[in-house]
Amino acid sequence: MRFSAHWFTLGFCLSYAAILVFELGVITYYPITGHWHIGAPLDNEGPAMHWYGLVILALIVGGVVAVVLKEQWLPRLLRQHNVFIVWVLMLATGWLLRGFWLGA
Amino acid sequence: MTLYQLINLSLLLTHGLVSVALIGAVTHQCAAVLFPSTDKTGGTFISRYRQVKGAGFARAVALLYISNLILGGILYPEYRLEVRYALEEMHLLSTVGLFELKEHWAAIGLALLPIYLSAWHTEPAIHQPVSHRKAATLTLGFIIWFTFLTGHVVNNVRGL
Repeated sequence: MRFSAHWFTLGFCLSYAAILVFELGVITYYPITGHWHIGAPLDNEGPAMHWYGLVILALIVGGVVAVVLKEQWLPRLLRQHNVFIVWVLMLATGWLLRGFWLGA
Repeated sequence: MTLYQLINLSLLLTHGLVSVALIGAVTHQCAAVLFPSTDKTGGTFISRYRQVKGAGFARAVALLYISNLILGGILYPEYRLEVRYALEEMHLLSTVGLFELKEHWAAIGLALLPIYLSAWHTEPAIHQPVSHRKAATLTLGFIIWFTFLTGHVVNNVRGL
């Protein structure tokens, strides 16, 4: 089975960004009750943790994209500078969290 | 100390020790790609530090990275319930934000691992420029150093 590292990075980063920006908390973990939940967030379950779901979904999307799509379909520029996408996502997460430092 | 606290403490210490091993390996690699040594005779300590064969470290770095992410993931609910609430009560929102950034960047590091491994196990002259290897390694090194230091700072402010 072929696996494209570049498609994985692209798929992971784009899906991670989309889930984070649009707050698509599909899989949620509730640490007080120890419950996992798929779908809209529940009330009366205590604090919700979306990070696990975020990582699991991004891994699934990245993995599927990496297996299904061929390496040569990816533009050469992206193949050579894929790390740039990682930096963009890192900066974007910093921007989304700016409220913690700016008090917004 | 209860058994639960003892398990948490053991996990936290293991998490820290794996981080140290990871930092050591990735910093060696970063030095090797940033300042490759041409001195074949061994030379000074600094020269020998830069002479390591980075490819030999790549799989170890990836394995340590994934192991440490899993360990962090196991400890994360404890942070969420015990530490984060305390930090919020102390109005240390910038520290909470730092930890949030750490968890996101640690996850984003996962996205980088396949291209990092591929950059180290592919002959650069044929398939990709050496700068690709350098960029992937330095970025991963940055993420690892950032997550390590942030974890350390947050643990100093309010530990598990």
